[in-house]
Amino acid sequence: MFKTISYIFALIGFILPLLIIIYLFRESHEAINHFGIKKFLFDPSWYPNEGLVGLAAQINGSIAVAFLSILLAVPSSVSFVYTNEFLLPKKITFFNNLGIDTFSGIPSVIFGLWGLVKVVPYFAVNHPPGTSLLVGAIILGMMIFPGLVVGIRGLIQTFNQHYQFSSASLNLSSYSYFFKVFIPANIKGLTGVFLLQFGRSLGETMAVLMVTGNVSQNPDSLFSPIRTLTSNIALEMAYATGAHRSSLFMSGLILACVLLLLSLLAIFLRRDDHEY
Amino acid sequence: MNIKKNLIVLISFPILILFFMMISNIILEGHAGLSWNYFVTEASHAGRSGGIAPIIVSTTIIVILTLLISTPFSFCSALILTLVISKNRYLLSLFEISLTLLSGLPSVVFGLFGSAFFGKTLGFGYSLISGALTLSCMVLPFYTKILHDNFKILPREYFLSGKALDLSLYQFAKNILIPLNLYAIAAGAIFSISRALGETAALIFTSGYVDRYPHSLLDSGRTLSIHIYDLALNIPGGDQAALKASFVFLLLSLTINFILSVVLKNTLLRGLQ
Repeated sequence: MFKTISYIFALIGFILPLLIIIYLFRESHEAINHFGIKKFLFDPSWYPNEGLVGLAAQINGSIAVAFLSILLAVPSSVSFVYTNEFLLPKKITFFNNLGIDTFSGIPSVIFGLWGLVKVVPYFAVNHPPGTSLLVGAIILGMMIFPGLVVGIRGLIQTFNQHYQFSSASLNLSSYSYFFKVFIPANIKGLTGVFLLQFGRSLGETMAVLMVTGNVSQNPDSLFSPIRTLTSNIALEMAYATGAHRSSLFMSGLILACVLLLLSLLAIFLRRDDHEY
Repeated sequence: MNIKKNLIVLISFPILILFFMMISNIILEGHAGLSWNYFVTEASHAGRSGGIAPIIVSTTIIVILTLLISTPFSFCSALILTLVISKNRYLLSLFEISLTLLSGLPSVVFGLFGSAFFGKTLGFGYSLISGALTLSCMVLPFYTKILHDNFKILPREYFLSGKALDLSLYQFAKNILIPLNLYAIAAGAIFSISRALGETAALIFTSGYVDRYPHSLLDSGRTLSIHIYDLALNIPGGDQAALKASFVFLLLSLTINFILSVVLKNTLLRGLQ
């Protein structure tokens, strides 16, 4: 009895990703029939009630904000890990790690609220209305920072000790060890970590929705308001019906497929490390 | 060389400063006017004044439901993974890839899936139960991974002794795996709580945002995170109330995550004893 139930539960866990894709596909079927898949990628703008369901601006917005957030967060996370692991005394490292683990769980609405109440007014002075691509990227960068630190730290801890001993016996400085030995040897693993966090940035909804302004247009400057795929779904799902609702499922399907591909890529990159 | 080092140390500062600004802003501006009444009264004027009592009730129900659903699912999945599937390397890596894919999906996709599957197909509509089911799907891969990682580092002798005594799967789980992995189960459970509390995007399509007391599990109810989102975005003049709620929320989530990181540090060590 217990055995049967266990098998069933495990099976459900196993097929869940497939089930999600099938359901998204089933729900977006109506939109594909109604508009055709071409329209989603090539229509100029997003007015679903008038038959214009172009997602290009939102896809560009999503990619721009996620890419910018990675660009902001990667240098500081790498240098934070280096400082924390090699330069600071062990006791402080311990507390820093505890702090990072604690901060990694702060919910996204709190980031979003802080961005809306404090960061947006700051930018609104010189670049009204303030809600913009840049603020979104800053908030996202803060959100993925703990994840990046935990990922890179994990790579350091599992890195072959052999390299560490060899470096110590050659009297390499911590700087050389980290930047000349660790990073070149783990370039694939690091890329995997960055890709996963890039995916998290792409999929983040609430914080981005609250600070980017949600105007469906191509991002032409750092200070222009944008709308991402995720916030589009969250904003319009409440009142959407019929083909409009179905188009939202279609954008969810696109998002899910992109993120599945990113995860797969990250898995395969992580697989063969230390082949230096 | 020293200039390089100093430069690298400097680069890590800006984001940390932003973090401290955020925490201090929310703590300094959120605690004004907080009293015991805030926790025991209902919201009035769409949340601009009044308390958060019904919201606390809905949040607690959703969190407990999520735990009740996700714990057996993850435990059984991890059990089958460790005892049965691990014999077949190919199948094991397939299973692990599937879990990793699931953990990489964004919450808004889970929200869409939940509203279509639990809301429409199973007919739960906007309700606490469909919200909790959606959240369970979200935490499943993480919970299973925490348990599986702890199960697989157990000494091989335990499994062999279990085989030699002809223990059934149930006896083995109840008498050996659960007592040995209490810390891991606690870590997974606290992780689920932390996820369930922080989630917004998956819940607005599944559990809805009604701010009165829920009457049954099939009733809609809003969690604390949705309350903050709604106050900040949809209700003019709700900023102060949102900061107040997020002060409570921040303290809650920092406490839970602190406990989680302490417990997680213990799991892998405890598993070996």
